[in-house]
Amino acid sequence: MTNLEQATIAKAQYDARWQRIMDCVALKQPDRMPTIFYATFWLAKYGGITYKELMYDYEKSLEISKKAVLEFEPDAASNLVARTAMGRSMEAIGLKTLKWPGHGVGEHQPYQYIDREYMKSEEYEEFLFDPSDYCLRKFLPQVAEAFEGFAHLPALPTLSGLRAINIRAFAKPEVRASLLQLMAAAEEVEQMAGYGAKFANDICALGYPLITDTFAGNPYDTIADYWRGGISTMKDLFRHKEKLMASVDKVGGYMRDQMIATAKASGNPIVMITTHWHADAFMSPKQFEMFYWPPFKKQLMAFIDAGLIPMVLWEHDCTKRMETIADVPAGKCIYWFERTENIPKAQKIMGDTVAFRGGVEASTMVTGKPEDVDLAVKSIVEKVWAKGGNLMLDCGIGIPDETPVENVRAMFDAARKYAG
Amino acid sequence: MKTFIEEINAYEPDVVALSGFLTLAFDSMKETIEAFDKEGMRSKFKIMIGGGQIDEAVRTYTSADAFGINAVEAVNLCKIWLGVKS
Repeated sequence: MTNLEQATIAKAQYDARWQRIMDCVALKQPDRMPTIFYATFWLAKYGGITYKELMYDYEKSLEISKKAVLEFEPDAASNLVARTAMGRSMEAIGLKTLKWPGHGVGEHQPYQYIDREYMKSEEYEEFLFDPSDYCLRKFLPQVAEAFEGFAHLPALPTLSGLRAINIRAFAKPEVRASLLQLMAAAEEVEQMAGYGAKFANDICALGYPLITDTFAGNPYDTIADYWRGGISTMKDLFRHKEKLMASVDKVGGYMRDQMIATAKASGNPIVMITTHWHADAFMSPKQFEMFYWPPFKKQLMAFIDAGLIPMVLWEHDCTKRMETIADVPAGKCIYWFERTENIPKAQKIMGDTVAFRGGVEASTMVTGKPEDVDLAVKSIVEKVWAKGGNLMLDCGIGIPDETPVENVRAMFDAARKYAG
Repeated sequence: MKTFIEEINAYEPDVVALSGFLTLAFDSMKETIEAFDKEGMRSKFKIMIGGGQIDEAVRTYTSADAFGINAVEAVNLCKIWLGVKS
């Protein structure tokens, strides 16, 4: 076969796979149930290397990721390289908010998020007064070494004075050191992004689309994950209601435009949005409807109005949220539920509104045998796909790290066995 | 595991709860409960496991007595086991 013939076939396969995803989004069942491949540290298990190697060795990460896509033949894949090979970049930045393999945890252990109050409750006012200045001089110096010197800068708006002599602060050794470290770190991030782009281009040339190229946060979780910490934000739901709501609104505003621009530049309309602190166990339905959902829905609507397709990963159990989150325009969103049991429930409530992603519990993948995985796929096909649901098969949050390889094969085989 | 066993011997609790938020915890929960068996202490208390990734399949895998996915479920399990009326 000539290169041209191969390219023509790959292009046709790419188009067919992407069309299945788009059909699901548009609530038209395609010829078969699409499958999505997403994994992080499971790739290390699959490739026979340590988690640390996967994070630090760009070439190995690229090679293993491509091998996995070619073996499992999904209808779309996440950017497996961009989501894993971040070790060198995070080390170059001197990130303090995470522990990762070989950097705070063992070489065979996954990330550990460190939940802390990076912004104190009494600093809400400063943040609300000027988020950019607060971020650069107070927040970033706490969360990454590369920014520590910026704590020595004057308030940013004062740099605009007539004689501009406030730039003197940039001569301070701490500020110089930060600038140099940042430039070096940015070059490392460029390298990582280059490998991510190579993965995307390579699998595209082989006939496989990326499911998304843009990852976005959401307003409430941005405050909880990065600024106040999850536990402190839960207390703020009672102690600092107004300031929390004002901050969530502020964050939502600056994130929306940036994410829309990023997604449009990527050429892929699907925007992945994770959710963390909304769960039934973390806030009441009333709190969800007051603090979480209105700014999040505003964000979803802005994405939809911009011609983008929000793909929300609803983590944890969402049973009590179903009616609320169903309130989005039909045929515009993908809802990815971590808990498989949520999908049949959601199918009844919003099956005519959103497409679904997910379907196999992490517990089945990790503790079950291939026949258990086969049964799990059969079950979700019967409960959702066979009833007209527009489901894209995946696990709760991609392939769990500890999953035996034969269980992953069983999952993808079962998709074809039971749903086209 | 050694710490678990020492603390259980020191406090003699009615309930031992193991929390795990990552799939990484499945095996360590299983190994911890197996260690209780080996120490001959398994029948002296109830074991619950919990966390966002936990379900009946993990309970079976680890041989825990029950599971919950949030703090309220954990409290309710304790009430049932200790005969506390709501």
